[in-house]
Amino acid sequence: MTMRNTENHWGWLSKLLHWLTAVLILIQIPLGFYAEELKLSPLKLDLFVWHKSIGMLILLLAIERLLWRITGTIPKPLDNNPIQRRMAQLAHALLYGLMLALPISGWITTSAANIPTKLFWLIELPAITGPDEALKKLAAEVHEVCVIMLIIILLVHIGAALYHHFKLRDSILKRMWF
Amino acid sequence: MQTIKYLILTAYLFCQLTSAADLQRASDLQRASKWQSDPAQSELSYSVNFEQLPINGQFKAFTVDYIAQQQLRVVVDITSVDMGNSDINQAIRDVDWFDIKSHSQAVFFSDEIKVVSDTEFLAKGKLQLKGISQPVNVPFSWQPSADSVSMSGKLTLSRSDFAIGSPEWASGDQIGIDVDVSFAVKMLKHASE
Repeated sequence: MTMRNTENHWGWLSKLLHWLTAVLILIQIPLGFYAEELKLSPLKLDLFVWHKSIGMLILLLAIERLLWRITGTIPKPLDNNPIQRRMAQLAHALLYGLMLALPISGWITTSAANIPTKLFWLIELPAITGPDEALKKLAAEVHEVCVIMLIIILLVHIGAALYHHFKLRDSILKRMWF
Repeated sequence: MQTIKYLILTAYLFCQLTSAADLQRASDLQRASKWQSDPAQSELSYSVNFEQLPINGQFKAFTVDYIAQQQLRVVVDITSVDMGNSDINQAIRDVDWFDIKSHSQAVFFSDEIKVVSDTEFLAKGKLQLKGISQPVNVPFSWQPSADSVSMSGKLTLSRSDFAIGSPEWASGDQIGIDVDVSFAVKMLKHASE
């Protein structure tokens, strides 16, 4: 298995980044909802440090994956149906958009809320805006809308992969596996 | 001639004595001079670690009364606390933290002012905060200008000495135990003088 993608195969780097992102997002979403629901406590503050740390990791991975796509190639789609192909393209574009929008809106929220952040209790995350109560509210709302959209599109993404694997019995899911 | 000489000498000595008395009186006045803070030009702020990074807060309303080298009294309106974040501002008013419903004021009252230098002093006294009185030393500098005095200083308090932060926050891992307090106060001569 090569590191780079080819016309028919995903390289191991793309696969690794895909599944790493998948695991992080599956932790990140429930973590965010749970931490948000908790009443103020040391646990809540710690969980938010984890949430922000994982979020920044997802952002870095998304940027890395986009660069990897732009500078290299990706395998040809397996869909014969042009509508399904379009749908898949749209879903992937939205996933990338949300993988950028969610961490960035979260970052703006915490900056505008005047909360300092040390990622993994190791690296200081600089504020990208000054304290701003109105901006904090707006960014938090964007964050919420984005996560709902992400959940829906993830369900479509996973549903489509399973549909391909079990119904169409093509190699689309296997192709992403190692 | 002898008499005139004697008279002049007496007059001279008298002058010396009165001016010495004047000086003594002026110095007494200086010592006993009363000063009060100008709230519009005064700041009382603090910094505490939040998940290992400092966040700042301030008390927007407080007064400082000072009788030079004799007594320092600071009254802080705890309800005026502001940490620049609405959620935090709400949380710290809770029973677990400042408990402002029961304790809306903090008072520092000096027992003694120690002179460190012409411009540096140490007020030894007690701080009553959240209903708990603890001995606290407040070092401050006293820098006179034309019409006012800049009074400033820094000290570190332990929030656990005043039961600020319920037991679940006792480790200090999320919210630090040490609180760095700093003040920069513009002191004006008391209006009654």
